[in-house]
Amino acid sequence: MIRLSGITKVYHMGDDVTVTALAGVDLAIGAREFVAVMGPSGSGKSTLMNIIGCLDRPSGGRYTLEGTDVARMSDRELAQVRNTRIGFIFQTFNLLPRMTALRNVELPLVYAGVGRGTRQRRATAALDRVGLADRVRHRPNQLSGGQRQRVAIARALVNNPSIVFADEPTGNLDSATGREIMDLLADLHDAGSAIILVTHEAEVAAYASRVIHLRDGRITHDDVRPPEPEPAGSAPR
Amino acid sequence: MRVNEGLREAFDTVRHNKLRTALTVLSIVIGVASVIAVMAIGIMGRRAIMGDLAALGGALYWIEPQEGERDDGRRDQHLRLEHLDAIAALVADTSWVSPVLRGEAELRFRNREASASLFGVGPEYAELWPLSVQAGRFLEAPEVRQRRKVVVLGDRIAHRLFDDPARAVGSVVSAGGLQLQVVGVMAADFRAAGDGSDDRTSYLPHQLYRTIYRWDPAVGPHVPEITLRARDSARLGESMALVQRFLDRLLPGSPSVRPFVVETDQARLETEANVLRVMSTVVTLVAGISLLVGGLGIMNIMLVSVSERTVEIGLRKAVGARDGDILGQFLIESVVICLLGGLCGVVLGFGGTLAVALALGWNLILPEVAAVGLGVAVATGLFFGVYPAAKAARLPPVVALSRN
Repeated sequence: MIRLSGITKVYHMGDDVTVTALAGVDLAIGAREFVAVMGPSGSGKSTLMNIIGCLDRPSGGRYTLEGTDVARMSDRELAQVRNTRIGFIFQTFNLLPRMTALRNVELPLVYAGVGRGTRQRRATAALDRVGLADRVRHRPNQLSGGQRQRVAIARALVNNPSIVFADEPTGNLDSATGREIMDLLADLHDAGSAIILVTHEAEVAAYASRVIHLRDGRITHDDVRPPEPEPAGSAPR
Repeated sequence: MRVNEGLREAFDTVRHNKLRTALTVLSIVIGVASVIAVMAIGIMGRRAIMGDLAALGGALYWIEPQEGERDDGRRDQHLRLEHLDAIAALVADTSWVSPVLRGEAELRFRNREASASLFGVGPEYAELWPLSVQAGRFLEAPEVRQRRKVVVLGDRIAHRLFDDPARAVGSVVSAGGLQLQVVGVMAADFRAAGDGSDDRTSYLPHQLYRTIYRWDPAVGPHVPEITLRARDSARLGESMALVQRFLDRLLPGSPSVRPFVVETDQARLETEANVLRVMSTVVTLVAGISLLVGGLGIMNIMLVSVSERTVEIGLRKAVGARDGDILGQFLIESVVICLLGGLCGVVLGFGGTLAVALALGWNLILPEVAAVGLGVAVATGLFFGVYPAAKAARLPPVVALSRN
């Protein structure tokens, strides 16, 4: 589904200062995979996620998404890809503070041109799926951190995307809440979405079936683990 | 994103930034209010100059003795009744015509007395000026022709003699030996007529007035003043030339100096209206400067808004907003802000216009001016909103998102 070959990303910081964030990444991710991208800060993992998520374009190399060469897509087409096939979950939740949970979840559907009635029905269903059916009319500042991230997850899944990107989704949460969020992501994976997770916590990465290590803009390890039962501690080894 | 979504977002934003929006919008309010007030007052003023004349149709002109040549002792240099009749016959198809004989007289009713200015007028006098009465009616053409002993009193005279103008109608007053029946009382606002009358002016048939008028013995009875109005203002020049030729033939002067000339102040009125138009245009432009300042304020606040909401823009793009959606959202916001200012400005400017209209007794105009005010506000919002909105739309999503 996702195929990267020789992807580079170079930032020009000044007249002759350049920073290489990605120095040639080759990677293939299949549909329904659950991948964790790990690495120290500055390793290029967020840059990689932005490129795979069509938020940014690579400086070089080739990226095909579901058979389409991303470099050939216009900004408009990329917006449509983000809108219909990709869901994003961020460390800082990135909810719009003035809007209710429902309106936040509706947002991708607004840009997809879905009518108001359908929009509200689907957004309500998505909030119900993350256990927030009773928080529909709340604004982000009336919700706890875990609830905010659940709203963000509802927003990511409301368009039934084939890939969900999660960038340090538990980074701003306590570990118990973090586990709840990861369980939700695991459910999402079970329901058929590919999950690409950026984290530096091994405990979080343990939810993934494949862990990619990045360092200095290159992949150093790519470990595929046998599918495990839910790592809630019950699985025998 | 559809427009109604954009509107919803815009009102949300305005609601959450009330003070900031109000302060920014103040200069738009002032700009729109002053543009509206100046425009409306200019238009109303022009209408006041032209309006009464235009209401009657046609254009006014008159016969005037040539200055400096009047007192050379030639009796022929005064127009007589037969000349008036000849002129009236000459222009019957193209103009209305009336003599005016102006003088002073004491009017009496029982033991009361009032010093009035009398206008002796012809049957077509009411066609020349926009006269209005507050009680009864003005002189009618047949009774003027038949020299009926009737009079229309000035407002002040009616008050002096009868206390209540309404009671004057039907009574008989005496003036220099004539017994005159009062048929009407002129409106209190004498300025509107424009014929040089005031609130003491009382009108009576000129043939009647001639019998008690104190003529200069050296000259004897004559027609000192003739006023005409072309029925069609486009044919004013033609009518004037006709009368002038007639006068030249009738009363030849020295080759270089005519004893009488035909004059009009149509041109002067038009010049006045033009001067007023130029003035109000200039003042409108000056008022427009505050709109310019207001627009810059809008641009500034929108730029602040864009940079405050960088993450929001990034997020919106991440979930599928196209550049055009973001552009539209911020443009709608800036138009909404300006439109709110425009609405306040229209109310304020309308208040000022209303005050002026009430003070000067002008007819109020609203809809076209309000439309201009709102249009100007929308245009300001669009013009000064484009740059910030385009800036927001061009933000790359990844840059916007990484700002936190």
